[in-house]
Amino acid sequence: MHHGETDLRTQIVTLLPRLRRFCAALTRNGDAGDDLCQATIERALMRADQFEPGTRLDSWMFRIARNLLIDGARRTRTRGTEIDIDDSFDIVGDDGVAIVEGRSDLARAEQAMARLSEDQRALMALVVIDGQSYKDAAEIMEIPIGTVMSRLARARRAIDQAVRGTGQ
Amino acid sequence: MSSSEERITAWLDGTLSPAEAAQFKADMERDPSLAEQVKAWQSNDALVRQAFAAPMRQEPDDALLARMGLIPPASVESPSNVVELAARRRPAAASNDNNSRHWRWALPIGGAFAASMAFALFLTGNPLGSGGQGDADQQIAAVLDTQPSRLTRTFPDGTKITPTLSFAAADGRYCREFALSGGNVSGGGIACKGSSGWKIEARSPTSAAPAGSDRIVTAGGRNDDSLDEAYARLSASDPLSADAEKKLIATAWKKSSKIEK
Repeated sequence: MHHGETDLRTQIVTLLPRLRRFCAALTRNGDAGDDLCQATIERALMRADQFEPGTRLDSWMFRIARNLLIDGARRTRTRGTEIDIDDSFDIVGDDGVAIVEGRSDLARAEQAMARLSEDQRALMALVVIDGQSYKDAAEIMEIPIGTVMSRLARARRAIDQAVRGTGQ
Repeated sequence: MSSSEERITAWLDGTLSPAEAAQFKADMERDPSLAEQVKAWQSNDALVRQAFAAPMRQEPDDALLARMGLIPPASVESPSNVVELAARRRPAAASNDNNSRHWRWALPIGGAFAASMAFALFLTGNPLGSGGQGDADQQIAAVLDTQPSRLTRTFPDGTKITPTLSFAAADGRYCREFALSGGNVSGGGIACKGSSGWKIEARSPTSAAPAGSDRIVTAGGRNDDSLDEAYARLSASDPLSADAEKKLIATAWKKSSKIEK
């Protein structure tokens, strides 16, 4: 379906900033996030026939991104490019904006995200960063909606401890 | 897991029923420590959002679309509107006679850009700030951080920013010359990456400034000598290779004692 694929590409371009942000939040900023994002798009285009027009492209692609991350099936070496946490704020994903004050707060927030469990991090990325509803987040994560709130509460507690420097 | 923390989470995410929300509000008024915790978590949420906000500010351009496999890389390699003008400029005669170290690479001159050689404006939304030097604005900083030289990034307001070349300064900082066009800006400048981000070292002249403004006004079409002072002052190296640039993009142009060649 050539027309379908062209159409899908156009929609992915529109979605790209959010998809990149989601991938960055799952993997930390920088190359690892963009590698995951690129792999997600590759997989989505390969399986374009599985996308049902009229359903939400963002949910579908976020799920692909997460599955790639979990099963490690992506071709690009997202994990292999992970870097030391202390360096993580010096890489490209930080867009060089001169936020002099607040910079260390942002670095702490990024590190706090990095310390969460994978599912907590994904829920923070979906609900807090991307603004998805509990119901949509539950569907993307393929977990019962009832567990979303408790996991988010745990994630927020862990982040608070990390930001204050009292955690772990 | 306490149910109090789940309630805070539900409150922050707006999933409490109106009655529950009213009750929660009343509880916060009675219990300052609860209110404080809510405030802290709310500000943590904001920090997390901000920490990952960079992709939302970057307009998908050709380089990014190619990186994501959405367009073939070839269309990035050869921008059609680039005309090579080798050694377009030499350093100002006054600076010194060691020409080779100041030779520049080709400057991208497209139709639109060439037409505006009578460099226009800096009227509103001046992305270089009001002074000749200072911190680069966010758009410029984002482009200088991530964009290879001679690839143009276009922003939603029509501003086009093109890093022209990169070099090392004698003090170990890495610097980039850039050109602006579109939107309501044109001209260009040199910025160097220091510990607090990109700092504008020089601006190229502008013309068509409004009467009475304190902007520099130059005749159209002249060569852009104003950057030569900065090249001399910074003791610029020869332009860095594309490979060296790639490495520096990956390491955020961190100042180095050993210079990339």
